[in-house]
Formats: sequence, structure tokens, C-alpha cells
Amino acid sequence: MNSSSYSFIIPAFNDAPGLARHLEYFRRIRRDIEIVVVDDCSTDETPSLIRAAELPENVKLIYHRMPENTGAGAARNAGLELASGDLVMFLDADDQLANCFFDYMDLSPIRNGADFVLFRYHLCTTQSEPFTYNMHTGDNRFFSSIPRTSFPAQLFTLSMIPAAASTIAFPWNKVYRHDFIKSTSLRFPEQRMHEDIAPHWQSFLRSRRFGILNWAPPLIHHFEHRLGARATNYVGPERLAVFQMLTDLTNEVRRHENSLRLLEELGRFCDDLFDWMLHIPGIESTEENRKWKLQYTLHAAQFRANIGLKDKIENPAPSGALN
Amino acid sequence: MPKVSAILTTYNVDAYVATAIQSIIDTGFLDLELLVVDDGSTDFTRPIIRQLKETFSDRISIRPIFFSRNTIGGVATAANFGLNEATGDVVVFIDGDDWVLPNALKRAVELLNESDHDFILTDCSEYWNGSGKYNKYPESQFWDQLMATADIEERRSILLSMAPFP
Repeated sequence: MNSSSYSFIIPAFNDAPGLARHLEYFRRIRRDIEIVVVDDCSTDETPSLIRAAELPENVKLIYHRMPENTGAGAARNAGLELASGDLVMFLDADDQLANCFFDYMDLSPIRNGADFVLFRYHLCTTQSEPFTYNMHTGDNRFFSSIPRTSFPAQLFTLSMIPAAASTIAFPWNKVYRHDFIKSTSLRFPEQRMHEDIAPHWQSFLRSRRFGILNWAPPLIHHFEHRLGARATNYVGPERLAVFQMLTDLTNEVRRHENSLRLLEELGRFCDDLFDWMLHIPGIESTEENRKWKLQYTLHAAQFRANIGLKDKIENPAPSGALN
Repeated sequence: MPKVSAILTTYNVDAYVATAIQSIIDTGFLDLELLVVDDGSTDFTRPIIRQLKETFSDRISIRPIFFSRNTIGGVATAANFGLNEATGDVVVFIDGDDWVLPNALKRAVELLNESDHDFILTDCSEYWNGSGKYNKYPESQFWDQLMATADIEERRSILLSMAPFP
């Protein structure tokens, strides 16, 4: 019954301790596992940690070092090229799977018609408190507002539950059927900022049916560090790529059968994103940063106007949808 | 560590019961007896309980007790039944639509075990499905008063003013 093999794709940059925790976790798992570590040019002891790793026969470790540091999106794509499992999951080096991960995945519809399954996470700030049973508020609200329990294996379409797409765009809260990723050419944009947004939305847009484990507990511990975030607080030109990506995404949303409702969701999602971008810690701190804040504000307004304007011409959006 | 009997009372809580059960398992109690007393659920609560009993059979003792129909006494009847069955040194009651914070519960049991106290009281938060947010339970002033006194009679009187949760 548990014959599916899993590929876990882990983009890694200078996080040998995180990788060591993942290896320790998988060492205990008696299943057909493939770990694909894509090293984005780490300068710490990552290569030696991988070389020294001793894993049981059922756990295969693939190590790939990127020729240059290009960010998590490119690293995940490189990992996809190397993965051979039936099921694929993206893991971040500093996160940890819950001990009960496989127990509940076995009860999910991932082998029963779902292209992927979405699950809850523990939002954590310290290693000493891994069980928070809490997520970001919007994700809490989404999971606890689904009208019926999806046990044992209810499948959803995006038209049934459009709010699924505007959950936070994390790559690591889903397990995919590998053939779904292949047949829909799901890839990460190879940019350093917001590379998670397009594949998150495209997962839902391109899926015929997916599962939501709203009846199950969180299956991953996700650590967010208040200070010292790497790319998160970046202010500068690379962030501008997000606007072109959102424009492309809007065009894909427009082709969906339920595009009006989904444009509402995308509008809400973008409002939250833009609001966050304009309040990045330190964005007011230097003349240079204030210049970028103005750029972001202008681009956001332009993006809003563009999708709003096109709506009026092609198919009128419900009033207030994109406000 | 003492043997812990966790008594989980359920009635039509299929959206929450797995989370409640997992949160108790996550405490990592070495000697845990998990009694799940279901008061006649008609939704997926029972299939989930049965499934998790099987899934965790090699690691955790989950004992389902299924009433044939919903009882008039509700949670009280289910909790009392669980109490009669419990064989642990420490007993904790959990409602089927709640979850515990595993580290906090573990610490509470450790504190109780290290002391000669009869019971330990814990605070709680209230979660709202519609907003995804938590409220501090509206009794925080009682907690402040409890912390301010060590006198058993004063504490008793404050505790009796609080909502009587199991």
C-alpha cells in the first residue's frame, strides 16, 4: 500500500545544521525515499556533511551543486530535473517534517485522484517550541472555514474553493504527484524574490483535483526568524520582477473557467503582497530605500490599473473586486 | 514520568479530532493511555478515531469507547465514563474540538509530578474559525489575581469564580 516513492527537493544555502536535521529525520524512515539536495554554492560545511552522510539503503541521497548562486527557484528546478520519485515535495533546509507526516500522507488522496495535497504547518520561531498548532492568520482562517471535513479523501477543484489559491504561497506545504508536475510543466521562476507565488497559483490553476488535509494536524514545522531573514527584507531592483510575474499570472487566471472569482482572489492576494512590500522593515531607512519604495508604489498602482482596466473591457469584474 | 491518562471526549468533531489526538501524542509522554470517548457521533469522527488507532497501533495506545447513541449527560457522561476506565497516575481531560500545546502540557505534568499538589490548572486561548485568530480567554484578570496570592483559601475562591472547564 505504501509503494509510492517520495522525492524531497531541498534547496540549500549555508544551512548545514538544517540539512543535518533532515538527514537525521529520513534516517529513521522505513520508506522509499530520495533526497535531492541542491546546493546553491554554500560556503559552509554543506559538501562535507553530505559526503559523510550515512543513510540506510531505502534512503537515496542525490547532491547537486549549482554552478553559481542563483536562488531557491533555480535550485528547485534543478532538483526537479534530478528527482525520480512518484511523489515530490519541496522542503526548505531550515524546516522540518513532522513525525506524523507519513502517517497522515498515507490517509490523504494523493494516491486517489489528487494532483497534489495541501496541508497545515506549525509556524515556529524557535527550535525549542516546534509544536505551535498555529499558522499565519489567513491560512488559519482558510483551513478552518472549509465547510466540510475532507476525510477520508474528498477531492476539490479550484472552482469549488477559490480561496485555496490565495493562501500564502509556500512551496513546502504540498505534496505533488510527479506526473502532475511533468504534465503541467510546473517550474519556479528563476528570480530571487517571490519565486514561490507563480508555482503556488499555477498548482491550483492547472490541477483538475487536489486534496486539502483540513481534518489533519500540521505536517511540517516551518521556522520564521524575526531577524536576520535573508531575502525577505531585501529592498532593491530585483524585487521589481514580481510585477511582470504577476501580470503573466493574471493572464493565466483569465483563462480559467472561474476567472472572475479568481481575479477577486488574486486581487486580494496582490493587495496583501503590495501592502507587505511597502512595509518591509527598513524600507524608510535610507534615501535609496525610499526611492525603491516609490518605485514599488508606482508599479503596484500600474499593475492594479492594468488588470482593472482590462477587466472593464473584456469582462466586467464584480464591483470592488480589485480594490 | 507518571502514567498519563488523556480522556478525549468527542461528539461530531470530525474537523478537529485528529488534531486533538495528535496534539496529545506530540507531548511525547512515554506512558500514555489515550481514551477517546465518543458520545454517538454521526459524522466522520468515528472513522477517523478508528483509523488513527490503527495507524498508531505500534506506538500509542488509543482506546476508543463508542456510546451507542448520544447521551443526555453529554460531555459529563463521556468524561465520567473515561474516568472510570482510566488507569493512569495523572488524568487530563480534553474536548474533541480543542487541542493542547504539547510542550506546555508536558511541563504541567512534570510540575505536578515534582510537587505534592492535587491538580494543576492551565490557561487557554479561544480560537475563532471565522477569523483564524485567537482571543485571550476573558478571564485573564483572575489569572493575575491567582498569581498575586499564595493563600490557598484566596486561590480557591478565585478558582471558583472562573468558568468550570474540565
